[in-house]
Amino acid sequence: MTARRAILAFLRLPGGLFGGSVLLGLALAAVLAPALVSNDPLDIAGVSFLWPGEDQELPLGTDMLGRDILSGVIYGARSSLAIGVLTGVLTCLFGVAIGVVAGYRGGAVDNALMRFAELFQIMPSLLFTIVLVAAAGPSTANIVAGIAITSWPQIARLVRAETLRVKTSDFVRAGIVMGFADARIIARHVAPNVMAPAVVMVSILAGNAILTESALSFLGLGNPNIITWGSMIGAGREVLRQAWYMTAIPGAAIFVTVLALNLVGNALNDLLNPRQEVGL
Amino acid sequence: MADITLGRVSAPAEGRKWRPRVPYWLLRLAQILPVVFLIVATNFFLLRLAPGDMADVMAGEAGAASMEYADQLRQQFGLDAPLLQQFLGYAGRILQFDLGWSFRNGQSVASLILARLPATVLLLVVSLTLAALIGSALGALAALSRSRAVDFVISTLSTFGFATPLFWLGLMLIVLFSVHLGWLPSSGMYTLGERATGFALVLDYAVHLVLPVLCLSTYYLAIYARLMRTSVKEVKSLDFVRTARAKGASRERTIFRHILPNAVLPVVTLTGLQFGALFSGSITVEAVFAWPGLGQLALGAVASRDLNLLLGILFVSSIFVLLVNFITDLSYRFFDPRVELSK
Repeated sequence: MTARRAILAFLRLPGGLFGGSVLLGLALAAVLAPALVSNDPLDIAGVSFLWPGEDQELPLGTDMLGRDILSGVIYGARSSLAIGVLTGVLTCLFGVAIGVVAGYRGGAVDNALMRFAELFQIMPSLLFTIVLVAAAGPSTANIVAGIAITSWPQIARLVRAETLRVKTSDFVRAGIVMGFADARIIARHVAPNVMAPAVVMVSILAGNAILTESALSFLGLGNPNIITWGSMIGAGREVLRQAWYMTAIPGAAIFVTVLALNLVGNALNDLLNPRQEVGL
Repeated sequence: MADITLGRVSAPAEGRKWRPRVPYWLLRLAQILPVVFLIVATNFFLLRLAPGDMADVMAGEAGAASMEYADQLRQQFGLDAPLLQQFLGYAGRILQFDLGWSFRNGQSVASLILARLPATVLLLVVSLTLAALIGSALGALAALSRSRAVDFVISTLSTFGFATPLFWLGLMLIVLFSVHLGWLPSSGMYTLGERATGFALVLDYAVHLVLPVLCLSTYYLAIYARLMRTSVKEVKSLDFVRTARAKGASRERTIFRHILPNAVLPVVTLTGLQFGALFSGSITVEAVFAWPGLGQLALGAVASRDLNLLLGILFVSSIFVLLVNFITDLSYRFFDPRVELSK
């Protein structure tokens, strides 16, 4: 399948079309944020407690300090997407590397790596990240590390299972017979053939990462220097009874973003492994 | 998390050398021990990651922070000993459930955790049970329904459930049911002040439990619905189902006796695998509804920079999730007697 035909096939799926466009829109908004909104998300832009629709200039209203909520939502897309992409990439790298090696080498190596996978699969992701942040500081790097460390086993398990299947195929045996080094067989012949489930899983894990980060910043444990959807919800919670829109709007942004990522994951799954449902 | 193989049902070959049959739970236990070791090692590593050491923290906590005092503490707790020796000491203490002392609370970490554990377990068990029952039922309904609309609605709702931040859902539920409708309490586990007894007490707990459970079970319900739908769809097309129909079994009998029992195994597996995620969810749900469980204790520990307590909670919850996985693995045989559990 050529790249163009693949993209067309992807967009023909309703979930792929919707999810893809939402993500593209969000990415554009995140990149172009300063051009889209004139107000800094942390500056006072108008009267406080302005409900959405009350003022044409501030379509989503203002929070309890008079900060522009639309601006917060758009700038919040930056941090959320960054978290999603960074964790996704890290998780994928670790998960694929460890899964392929475990599956290909088998034996004691496999056993040891799978015990590590089990360790980080049982540790509650949010709790682990909270501890990491409490011990090493609430920087974006630590948050990403915490989420990635507890996410890679899900990819590693899938990739390992695929590797076990691919390992016995003729092209891998041919490589062994020709005397290729293990590293070469793994990198050139096994890894490219086990990527499909990893790619599907990674978009779902990126969605989960965004959810975990938003929970963290909602609890007041995120990076305090940047505005995030979670921190907006955390702030809005204080005035939930009078002004629930401050909580509702950023939450809806998280919902739409994660939904888009999941739909993209499902669409990729339909394309890449048509007979298989997404493993959880 | 054991690998399952559907084994052939065959008598052991004659003439083969007799091997002692190690019971499965023992094999599984042997696999679990390294993980427990790794949990302890991770805790130790995280403890060392924090700036300053335990003596600095304790000296600060105790209020008298002279250098001599800190050094004295270091010696007392063996913090000047080689790393390996420190680790062994730490591991020895933690495995005896001696999780240290929380100066902030003036109690041992273990007793603090034990006091909060029941509230969290109550929340988790009720949410999990509801999610499993309703989720599986919905998933099966989606897969078996002749109406495409039913399938579509259930699948869509399940996709939505995956994408909803639980803490946000909780806040929105409070807005609707507590603030606007005034039907349900928005926080706590029981009404403060008046302590009811007997049936009224149970009712009081139940009323407080509704919103947190509704909130926490959403994500899990979505997973169960999706997985059960996949699983039922897969089993539905197998030969034995057609055979059952062909021999004249009714549709109901085929569903309840042939399809569902065979579709339930992946759903059981999931309970163990996702239990950690459920635990993570309970932290935010507890924060939203002021539910006095482990999550609240953990957040309090972060606020007061009580790393020792925090690590104790991480340790206990990891072991808890590990145990749930162990029990799930053992229950495979109950749900599907054909399953042969290999290592």
